[in-house]
Amino acid sequence: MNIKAQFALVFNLDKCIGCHTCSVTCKNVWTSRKGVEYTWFNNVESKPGIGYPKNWEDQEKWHGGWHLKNGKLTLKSGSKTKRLLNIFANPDLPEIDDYYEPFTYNYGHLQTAPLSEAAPTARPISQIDGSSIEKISWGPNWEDDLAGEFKKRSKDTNFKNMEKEMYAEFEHTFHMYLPRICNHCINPSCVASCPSGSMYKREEDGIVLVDQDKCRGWRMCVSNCPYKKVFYNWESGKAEKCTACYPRIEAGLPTVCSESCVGRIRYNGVILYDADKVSEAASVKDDKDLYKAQLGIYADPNDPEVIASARANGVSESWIEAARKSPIYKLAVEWQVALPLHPEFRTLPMVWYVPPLAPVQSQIDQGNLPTESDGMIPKAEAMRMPIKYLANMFTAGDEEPVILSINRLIAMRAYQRTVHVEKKPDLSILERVGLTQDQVEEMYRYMAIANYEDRFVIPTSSGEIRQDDFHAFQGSNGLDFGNGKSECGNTGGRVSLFPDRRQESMESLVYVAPPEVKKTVNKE
Amino acid sequence: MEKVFVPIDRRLTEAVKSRLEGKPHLTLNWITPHSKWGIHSTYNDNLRMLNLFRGGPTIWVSEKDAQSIGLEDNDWVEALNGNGATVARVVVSQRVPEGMGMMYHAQEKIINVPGSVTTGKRGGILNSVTRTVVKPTHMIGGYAQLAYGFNYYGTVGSQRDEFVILHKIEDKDIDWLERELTPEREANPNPPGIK
Repeated sequence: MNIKAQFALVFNLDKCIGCHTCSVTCKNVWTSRKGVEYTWFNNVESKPGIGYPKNWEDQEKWHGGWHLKNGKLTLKSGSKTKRLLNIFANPDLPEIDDYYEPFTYNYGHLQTAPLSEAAPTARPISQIDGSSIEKISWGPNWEDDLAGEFKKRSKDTNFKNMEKEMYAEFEHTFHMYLPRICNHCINPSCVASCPSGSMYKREEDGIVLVDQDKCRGWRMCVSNCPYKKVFYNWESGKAEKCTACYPRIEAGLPTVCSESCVGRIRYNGVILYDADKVSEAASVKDDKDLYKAQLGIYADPNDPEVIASARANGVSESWIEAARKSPIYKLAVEWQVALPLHPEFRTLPMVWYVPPLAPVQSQIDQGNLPTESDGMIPKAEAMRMPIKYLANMFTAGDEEPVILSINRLIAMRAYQRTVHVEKKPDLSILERVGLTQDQVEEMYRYMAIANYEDRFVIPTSSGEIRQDDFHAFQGSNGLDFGNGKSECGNTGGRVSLFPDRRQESMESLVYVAPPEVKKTVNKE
Repeated sequence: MEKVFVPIDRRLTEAVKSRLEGKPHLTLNWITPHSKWGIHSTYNDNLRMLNLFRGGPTIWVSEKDAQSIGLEDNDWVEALNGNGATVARVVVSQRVPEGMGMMYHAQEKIINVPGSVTTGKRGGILNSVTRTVVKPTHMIGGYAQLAYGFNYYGTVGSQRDEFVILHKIEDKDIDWLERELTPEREANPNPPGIK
């Protein structure tokens, strides 16, 4: 046993309203800079749809993540030699049009336009080179609320092995939002593929980061990440990605996207896992077993052996305590309502999702939906959202865990209805889905009420105990970086974790003008 | 005599049909809901939100309607009736039922709006095709800018029960109306080529 701690998240899709507040706050904080105009560390997709960048889920196209080759876990992009041979012309690299040409408008024209035949309008221009864009043709959320023909959107790989044509009809339309960030995987393929050794997974909390000094801009991480959540900054020439807002996490605060979520769908917490089992879990033969295999590496934070191993590995008491109270552990392990996104990529992602319910109550009341014998719980298989679609997204096609999760969510509602409407708690609803009354009351508190303290259980990083001198940094550093001054009272320049621009090796050379050559004039 | 029951008032759409000269078009029920990104009808088209959708005004139509006149997602379209015209790009979606044209509230025409091909003026906003009229009590005091029309500031939104004709504008026919204003052009209320 070799217990490590990991910062993890769960998103409750049943409550996501697609407002994009997460995307906007993330963009404002992290990627509102030159070089990363097209970059959204956090984006929200409308499903079914091909997403951002286009068709990111299709690994036949991008060759991201891992696969088993002769029973051995290898990067899908091929051998190290193959990657090295392709290093100057990586065939799997997304281009700007796979993301989108970031645009702004010629706003100045509104003020400076001469007297014209009609009132002026600001036309779109590229944020990259300022050139005029005749017609905007793609964006990071082009398919919002099922925008675009079904034929185009249904290239979505989650329709795999499905008769999708019927879902094109107005009467059978279904829709869900999928907010996405970096999954801070336990087995990250971006880290494994980096030829410069600049990407790393932090020992203390498992957050995956790019060392901006070591990055050489080869972009292997961009193509090897199956979630396409590593981005290339064309101005600095470095890779950048979601940092899980580590400056906030270290201080015990939730990520910006989680903090700002109006639907309260995001949970932040700690998971203890057994690092000795990782390789085995990522290498199970059948894709469908990957979800259970990943569950298998999560360690019980109340097990004395686990605690002892965690302590031996230097996990602090506050982290062990947080792991015991972790909302992530409850949602993923205790209640098994949260599921990983595309476990078949074999990266062991650490952002899990509670699947969405289709609105069902009025359909049940009208008798349009087949229900279980009690007439309360609709058969999950009969709901508007096809279970197969969700299973392709969350469990590599295995429908059973999705049905269990959805039935538990419905049971929670049905039970609360008997408590609050009929005033006669009906425990038989819970028995069928294997939940106790205590569990479902707690589920209700975490998922329906979703108090701040329940959603976010984040221990501070205890950075001081890793220092030689406990008081080394006392009074010298606040939440800012680089200049050692605290935010208030500091008038220094803007601070960024990412470098502003490319450092060319040529720039460090001092230019010396060649000596002037005097022209000799022949007076003859 | 055979009696035909016409449940809707189509005068405003019939009046402008001749301008299309037989071009394929749709007659749609005009719906202008509040967007998810604005409170009531506040504007939400700042740069972030524009990047987070289509980057300009859009009109949603159903896939079947779009197919019937050869419209593809993101084509330029014009919606018009006897009240006015508005130009936007079309969003083709299965989410919209047949017969409906939907344009979210509060999309500014100072962003990415070309000229209308039938009026020769800058394409309008969602309200260009609805009547802006007031109820009689608002006219007390004789304010010159107000004129009477039935039930505008009423308790229901019936002034929005409007129909529009929607047709495609080819990319090559898009005119941004950025030419300088000449005295001849100023003297003529309707631009050249517009009846």
